[in-house]
Amino acid sequence: MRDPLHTRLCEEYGCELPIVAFAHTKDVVAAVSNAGGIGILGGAGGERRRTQITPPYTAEQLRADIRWIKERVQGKPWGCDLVLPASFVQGTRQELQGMIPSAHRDFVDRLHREHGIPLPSRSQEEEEPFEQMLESSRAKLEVLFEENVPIFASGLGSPAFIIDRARAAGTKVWGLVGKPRQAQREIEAGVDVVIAQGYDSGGHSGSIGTFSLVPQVVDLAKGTKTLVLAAGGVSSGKHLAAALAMGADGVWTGTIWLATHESETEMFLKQRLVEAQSEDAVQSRATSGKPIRQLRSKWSDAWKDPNAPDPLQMPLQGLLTQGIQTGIREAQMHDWMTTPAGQAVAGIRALKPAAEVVFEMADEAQVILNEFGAELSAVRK
Amino acid sequence: MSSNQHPREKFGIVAAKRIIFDPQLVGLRVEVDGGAEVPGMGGATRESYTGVLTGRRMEYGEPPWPWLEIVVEVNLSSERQKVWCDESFVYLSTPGRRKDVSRGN
Repeated sequence: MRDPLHTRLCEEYGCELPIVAFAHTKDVVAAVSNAGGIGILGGAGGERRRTQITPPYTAEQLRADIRWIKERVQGKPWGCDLVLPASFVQGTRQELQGMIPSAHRDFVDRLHREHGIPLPSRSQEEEEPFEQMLESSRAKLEVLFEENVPIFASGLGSPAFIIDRARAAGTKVWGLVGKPRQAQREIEAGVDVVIAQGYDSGGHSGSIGTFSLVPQVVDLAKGTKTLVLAAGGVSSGKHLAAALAMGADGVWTGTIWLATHESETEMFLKQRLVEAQSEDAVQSRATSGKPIRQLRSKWSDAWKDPNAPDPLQMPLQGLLTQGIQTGIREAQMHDWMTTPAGQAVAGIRALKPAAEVVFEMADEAQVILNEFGAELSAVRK
Repeated sequence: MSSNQHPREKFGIVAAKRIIFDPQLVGLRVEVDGGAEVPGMGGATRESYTGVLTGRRMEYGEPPWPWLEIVVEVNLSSERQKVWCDESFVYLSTPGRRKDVSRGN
């Protein structure tokens, strides 16, 4: 009988298990690829950026991390994820600042006063202009191609414009989507893998649940060369087995790697991840103005208070809160800090080595799928 | 560094940008799946818009990265807001005519 865990993903990429791990820590990426899965490095910088004041993560820093991983995985499959922008609101910083209502400024001032949050010690960095955002993305893409990274995963925007360039460099192109219409566009463009990310996931989840989204994307990809990964709420072998039953070729996972030994995530956040239930992974608009699923914190609670104003739209909310967020990090006010996390956080019960997480997920899925296979055979007899 | 510097100079921007005007696009109602990275979160956020194409189309760098300009219907303020949107995720919202703007079919 065919090994149910040996999917098309394993055949095409040479991995032993259809488990893909997205992480901002290079050590996690290498550990997962060496354990038989596929590690994908988040190209926006390490996990510490969420809790420390760090300079922007440059293309050359990315190159150094890529070389570090290459040395350790020795030809095993791995990749890099970049957040390509998909839209940009025009207007100067000054013009946008002028649109922030005084009631919102008053609320932020009150948070400073009532909770002892210090004002930032430095002036706020100028937002990257649109062209610079595009330029940074292209510079990082070139690094990926120059370094022959096997997989480029586009975490937000469409990778369609760069597919031919990637192919010429021998890099496979993956795209993460939250809606069937995005999947349709990416399949038509010829991406190698579509990651169907449901509402349960951490960070920029869409509005469609994983169980509703994945089968639709599987149907769209049927008869094409594009493979499908299920994402959002995946933390165990039960999820992996369910994803394969829905027709996916594997799973894309994120939150579970934050609480691994190798992850750079600060220990106070790891502890909160271990203690968290699914309902602690809240969708909050408090940071950017758009929903980001994250661990509940005093910050997300403050904006849910009945006396708090509704968060502003993007990018105004980000402009409004940039200073106080810097103050929170400078003062290391842990209760006010957070990390993106999905509802699968409930599956994290202890800090473990990344390889152990891979093996446990695979073992559990194998048992479930074997039991189903045996029961099905018995019924057919 | 002078604050009057052009962004191209200040940030070392090197890629070529070409903006063309396509009158056939003007006024088409669209839906957009957009979004961008959120500074400091190590992540991103999705942003959906509905609006009207202005006819301006930008191609950035080589190979060209195509963008369409829209005026959004739900505004941040009373002013009309213009947004550049990746052409790949722009969808015509005319009922019964949901088709691929980027490919002109």
